[in-house]
Amino acid sequence: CSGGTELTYSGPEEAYKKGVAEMEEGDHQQAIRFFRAVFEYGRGNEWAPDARFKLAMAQRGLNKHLVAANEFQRFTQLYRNDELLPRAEFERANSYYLRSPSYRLDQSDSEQAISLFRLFIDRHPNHELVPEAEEKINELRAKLARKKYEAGRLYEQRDMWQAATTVYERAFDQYPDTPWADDALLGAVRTYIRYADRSVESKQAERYQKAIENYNRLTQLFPESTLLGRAEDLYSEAREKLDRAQAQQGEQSLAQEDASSGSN
Amino acid sequence: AQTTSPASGSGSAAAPRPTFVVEDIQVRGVEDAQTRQFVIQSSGLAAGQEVTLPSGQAISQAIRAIYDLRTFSDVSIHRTDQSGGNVTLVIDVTPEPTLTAYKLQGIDDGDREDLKKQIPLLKGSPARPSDVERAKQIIKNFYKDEGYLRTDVSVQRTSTQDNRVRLVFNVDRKEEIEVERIRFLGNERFDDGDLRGAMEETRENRWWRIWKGEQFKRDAYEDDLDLVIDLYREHGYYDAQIVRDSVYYMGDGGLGIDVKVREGDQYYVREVDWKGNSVYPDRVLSEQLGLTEGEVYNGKALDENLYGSGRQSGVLGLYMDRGYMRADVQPTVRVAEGDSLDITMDVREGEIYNFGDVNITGNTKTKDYVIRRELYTVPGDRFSRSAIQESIRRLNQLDYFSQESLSGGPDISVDQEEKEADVSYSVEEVGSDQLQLSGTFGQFGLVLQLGFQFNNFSAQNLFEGDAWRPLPSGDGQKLSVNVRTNGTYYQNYSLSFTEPWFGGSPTPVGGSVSYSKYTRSVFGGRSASRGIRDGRFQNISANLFVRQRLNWPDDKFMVGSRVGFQLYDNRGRDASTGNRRPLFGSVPYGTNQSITFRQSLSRNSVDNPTFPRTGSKVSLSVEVAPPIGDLVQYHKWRLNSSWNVPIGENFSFGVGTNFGYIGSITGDPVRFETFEVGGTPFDYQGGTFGTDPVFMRGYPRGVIGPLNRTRGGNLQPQGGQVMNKYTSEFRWKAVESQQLQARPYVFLDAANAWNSLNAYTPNDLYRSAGVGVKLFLPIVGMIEFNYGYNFESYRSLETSNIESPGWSFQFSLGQGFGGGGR
Repeated sequence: CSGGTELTYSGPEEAYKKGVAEMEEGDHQQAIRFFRAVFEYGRGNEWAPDARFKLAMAQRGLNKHLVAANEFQRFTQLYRNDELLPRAEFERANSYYLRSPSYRLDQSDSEQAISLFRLFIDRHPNHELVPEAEEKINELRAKLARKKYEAGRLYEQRDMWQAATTVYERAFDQYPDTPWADDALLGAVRTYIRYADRSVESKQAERYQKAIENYNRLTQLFPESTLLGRAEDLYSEAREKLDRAQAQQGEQSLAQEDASSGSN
Repeated sequence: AQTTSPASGSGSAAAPRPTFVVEDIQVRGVEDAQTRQFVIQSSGLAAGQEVTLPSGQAISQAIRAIYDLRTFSDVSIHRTDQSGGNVTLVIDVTPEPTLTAYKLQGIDDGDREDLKKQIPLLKGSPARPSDVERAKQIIKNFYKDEGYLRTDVSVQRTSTQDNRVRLVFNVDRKEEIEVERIRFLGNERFDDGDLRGAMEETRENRWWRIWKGEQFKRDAYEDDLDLVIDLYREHGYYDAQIVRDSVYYMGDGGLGIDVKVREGDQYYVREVDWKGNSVYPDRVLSEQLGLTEGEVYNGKALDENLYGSGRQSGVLGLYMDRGYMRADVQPTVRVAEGDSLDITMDVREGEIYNFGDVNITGNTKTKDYVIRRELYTVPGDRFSRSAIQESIRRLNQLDYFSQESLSGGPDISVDQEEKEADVSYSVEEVGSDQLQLSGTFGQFGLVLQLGFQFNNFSAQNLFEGDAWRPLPSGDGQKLSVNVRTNGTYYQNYSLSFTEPWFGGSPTPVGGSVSYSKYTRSVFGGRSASRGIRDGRFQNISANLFVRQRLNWPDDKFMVGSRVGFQLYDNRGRDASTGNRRPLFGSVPYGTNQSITFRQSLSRNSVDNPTFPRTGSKVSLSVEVAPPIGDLVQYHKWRLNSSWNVPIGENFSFGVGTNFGYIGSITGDPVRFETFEVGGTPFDYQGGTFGTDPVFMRGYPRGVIGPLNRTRGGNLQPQGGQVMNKYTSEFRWKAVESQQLQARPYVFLDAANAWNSLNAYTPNDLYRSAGVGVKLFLPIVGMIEFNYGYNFESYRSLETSNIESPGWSFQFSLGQGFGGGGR
């Protein structure tokens, strides 16, 4: 806290202006004190909405994003006719965006930000900040996709093939619009082959088939993907092994040995 | 308050309602112009706006918005000055009085704190009647739970000018109501005492239970009535019921309870018939159910064994563990003839569900993979209840998350179409890191210690600036750094690091290094310091270890390997003769080095590492110090075990055994790492150089086992080659909060150490018993106190006198005695 000195101001206007000046100086703490002083003249006074908005921005300056988000929310509740309203809604979402941590950690804030950005876009489809909101949604979704993708990686590294295939496929299903979609598909191709390699014979063909299906999705949906080279190799491997497995199954004729459906 | 429109009565159903343009908005009921402006702003209405009247959406929204401000008790909107399509709106509001303060009178300070947290009144906010009424109810309920059934609360309002109000809640708890008498009627099979015994919370007041009055709690009483019926059902009284019960005040402020039961007849099981089961044969299900044909019908067992209780998984548990998460069993019990019951179990197995998404939330510090790698719930696997239970146990063991956040289990959402169960673990991080600067007063004066214990360290983020908060964390590694000194003649530096999952598999790898130095003689365990001049003692030790989880016989097994190096440099002189004498008592004179290899095999199923309640821990280890060149040689065997059994919700019982043997490879005497028994970890804060201390409650350091005399004539532990120790503890989970965890216990221990296998007499043990408490405080760490009685006499090392059985007090910091740890 920057000093416990008494603030001097003669009215809401002066308090507001001094707050703005402090903010320009970079003293957010002091700015907050002045903006709060504006509310002493009632929440409905002429300067109150701007002060509320700036107060929230000052909290952001102090990296108190959750406090800022709450202030923006109060703004949207109190001043529903103010012209800053769309801005406040955007900045509220943005506060959660700024809180969003690495993909390895809890993503509740990312999800909150996404839903608030979407709400903002729905309410103000023509606002100048819409492109930025969309960009941030994409960025956050990429983060969520990465989170899921890395879960697949973890299972793959631990040779938990079934889990890896499940999670990679889900990562693609849930986040097909993100930069991780092609990685997820490639992961599915790769792990289905490994999964099949370690499966009982009766299940092998089906799982090589799955690898090929995922390869097809990859090539059709992401013809530009840099991963295609690696996918190509895996595809030929799957193709070859599928043929072999089918041939073998043919030889085994109709002796249905399907006792255990498990694998690994 | 309603939207009222003077013009028309109730809204017209069919006719299109006219729209008007708002020309002006006025506010009535508040003086202040700013507040008026504020009301208009909050309403969302603005001049120039089109509204539908009467009862258009904009109007009802406006009223709701103003209500939501929570400052007005009454809000309504009217129209005036209607001319053509234009209208002026009037918002009528009645402000609630603002609460300046409220006071609770007639209660204890402690209660006040608790109550204030619950009461929904805020200074400076409007004092709404509904909130005041709720506050009254909260106070009443609060005291009802404490046994003050007749608590009276009256509210005194003092209104001041400008519509402000002060509230005083006068609370009169009246007399505490205690249960004086519980009577049963209609009972023959069980007497009143048996039935009263079945009740858990509701008890008669008895003069010998002086520590508590027997209060009456309505909810608990209802449950207790069920327990009475359960007692009957357990013994075949299939249709026992409570016909009537009454709770009444007796003359002297006590409560009387009369319960009339109808026992009915005692029944036997004639037949148990399973229907609809395809996964498990009748035999398996019947075995799990535990009802035997021809025996007394046990209705309680039927419930428990069907749905599972405690650790028992139950019939449904069998299904739950094989993916049938929607399985259901409906028992139908029919009286066949006479005293026989036929039981039909209708099984609906449902379909197999798999785990779908497995999500983790709430981890603000610990990275996903650190959590996910502990989970047994794996996407694509069959749903299994025990996989969930095991996952929770593992997460608990990490010690990173609050028990409350884990104990509820994960959120499960089921996709009926896909037959999948999505599982979401919501964790709450609690600081398990410890940073301590402490001063302890012990054998060499005041020792200052600066220590860090990071249980969730991240070496990966070591070079990322913004990861330092205050240290990089979240990768689940353990790092501890300690510096200890008494300022003059003692210093110790140590560092250790563990990566619990090396290379992505559950293979902990780690190591530690430590350096200690003394420049003055201290009481080093085996020789008193008297008569030795200053010299120098140094110790360097380092070790590396790998442990590996095994998959067989089950995945709670672990093998461990450790390579260690020790260097001792111990030089001093006799004060009177000037001859060479070791400065540190427990280690021979000069330089000694050893390289040790240790292999261990252990199994750990303990639920919580600091405060075990259930599960067991067994470990067997062999350590070899090979006789290469001048190196110190020995071979050493340890077998430790501890077992924990929960008793009810809040108690547990633990037993531990601890066996050790150390022998010589070459036949030369063993000079290092022998056992000395007695004392606490605190007694060894200066180091355990050259010895293997075994802590023992009720006896001071080193007094148990063979002793000998130094050249100076002082008594010292000789160090045993064979060691046995047995511990038992009955613990109470007394306090479980973020600020403090406390487990008081009573203990009974026994231990001894012997010179050699020839001298080994396993029945000859030093026993002790007493009470103690183990505390865990977030900053200080573990503290343990105990007050113990030694049943056997021992010789004091200080005075050489024989100490008779008696009580003594012990204390330990940082590390507990361990129910079987050391």
